Amino acid sequence: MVDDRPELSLPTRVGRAIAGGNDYFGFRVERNFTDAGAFWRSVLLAIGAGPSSFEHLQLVKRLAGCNLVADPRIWPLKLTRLASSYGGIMAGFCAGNVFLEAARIGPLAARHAAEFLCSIVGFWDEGRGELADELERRRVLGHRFPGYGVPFRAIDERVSVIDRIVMEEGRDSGRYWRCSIAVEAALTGRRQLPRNVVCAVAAVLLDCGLTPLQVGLLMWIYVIPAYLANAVEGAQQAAPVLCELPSSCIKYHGPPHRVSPAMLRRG
Amino acid sequence: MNDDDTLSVAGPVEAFPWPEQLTARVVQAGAQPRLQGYDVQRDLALCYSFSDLLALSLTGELPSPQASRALQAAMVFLAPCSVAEAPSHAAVIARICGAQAAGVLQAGVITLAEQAASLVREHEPLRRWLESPDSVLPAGCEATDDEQRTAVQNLRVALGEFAGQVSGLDRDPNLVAALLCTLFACGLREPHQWVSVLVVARLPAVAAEGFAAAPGDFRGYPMDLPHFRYEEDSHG
Repeated sequence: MVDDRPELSLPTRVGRAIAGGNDYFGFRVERNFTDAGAFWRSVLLAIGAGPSSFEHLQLVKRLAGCNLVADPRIWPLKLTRLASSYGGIMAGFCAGNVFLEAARIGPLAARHAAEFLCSIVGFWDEGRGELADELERRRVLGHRFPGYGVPFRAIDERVSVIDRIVMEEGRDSGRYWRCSIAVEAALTGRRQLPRNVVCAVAAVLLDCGLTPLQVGLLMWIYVIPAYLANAVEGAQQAAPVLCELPSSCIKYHGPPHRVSPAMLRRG
Repeated sequence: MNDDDTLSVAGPVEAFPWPEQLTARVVQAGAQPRLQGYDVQRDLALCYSFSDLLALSLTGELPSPQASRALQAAMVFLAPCSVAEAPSHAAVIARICGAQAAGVLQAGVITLAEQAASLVREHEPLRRWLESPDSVLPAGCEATDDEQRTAVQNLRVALGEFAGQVSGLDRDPNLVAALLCTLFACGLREPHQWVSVLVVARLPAVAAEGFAAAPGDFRGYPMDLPHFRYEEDSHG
């Protein structure tokens, strides 16, 4: 018996279990999600991109491989290793991801790059001079340029791969794509701030009609194999060195030894 | 793999001079561990409560005896996280699904941290107000009925004389606002400190509700509460 009080009822478009099957965003699963492209279509629906995004499926799928960075020394992946070091795959996977929503780095930061491109593309529409002026105005105000700049190396090797895919897929005339390259050119006049992978993916996906939030979420889906792989191997290894580092690896820079007021009173 | 191969695959991590040690800033490990500089076994364990340890950990300083009692009282007031609330509810579902201790706590703690962070975000105007209190509490912080006023009166009784040191307590706050004002008066003034205290204070109830549920009791759980109304945008 369903309690029909309005406050105890929530709308959902996601899914419904029905007799003999399941519905997913208006699609009967058994009829629509059994082919090779089903996973990526289900992902696009999950992030709210809607069925119209299916026309970009080929591009969405090709971008996935460009983002596979799985080195366990990378901070969120190291965290995954730490949390899985007691043998729990899901604990490692979840710990490595749970903090990403508001993190400065990680796949969801693609949202910030997408928001930046959305904020600047109107100036690009007006012309290169207007774009350069706006970028300079923001630089003087101390703004950051999400998606530009590559840490620890001159260029992001993944960008050239995405450049090639964009050309092959005939997407190089996209508004956001061209804007992202124009921004790089304008910024590089002052100092080296090349596009990084986040910028490139954000530009392509914005041209596909995705919102900045959807861009961030899809970027996260792209790197899930990296988290999963580290969680699986981390749990299998259950490495004592990750459960606890040797004392020689730790230096103490905290308060000096002291005695509490209560202990002083006790003498 | 020979040396040449190693050189050829050297990546950005190898190209940067990273520190070789991890920095400890709070706990000094060892046979007689120290926390914020104090001997845990021969000092803190003899003279201080767990809530003192929490304040010390988060602020770097031990609370005064008055603040210590106030913090303890505030944490007890914060503790009841009923099964109606998402953290305990999440822990119950995890348990029913068969989760062991860690799984119940993981589900509960993630949700609890989200609840605490949401509440602290919501009360950021109050935290700013507490930094330089003027006459009127920020919107949403006032008591709206006598039940809330009774609860705040109960808090005043528990705080004793320390109540006089809690800014905002005399401005007719609701219980949540009054408790956050108390934390502020105890020296816990930053958002991350509030979130931490909320999580620690409420975790016992969340864990207990979770562990009280029976693994596998799917038929005893109200699966259709709340009811989700599927809004179909039919595609076939």
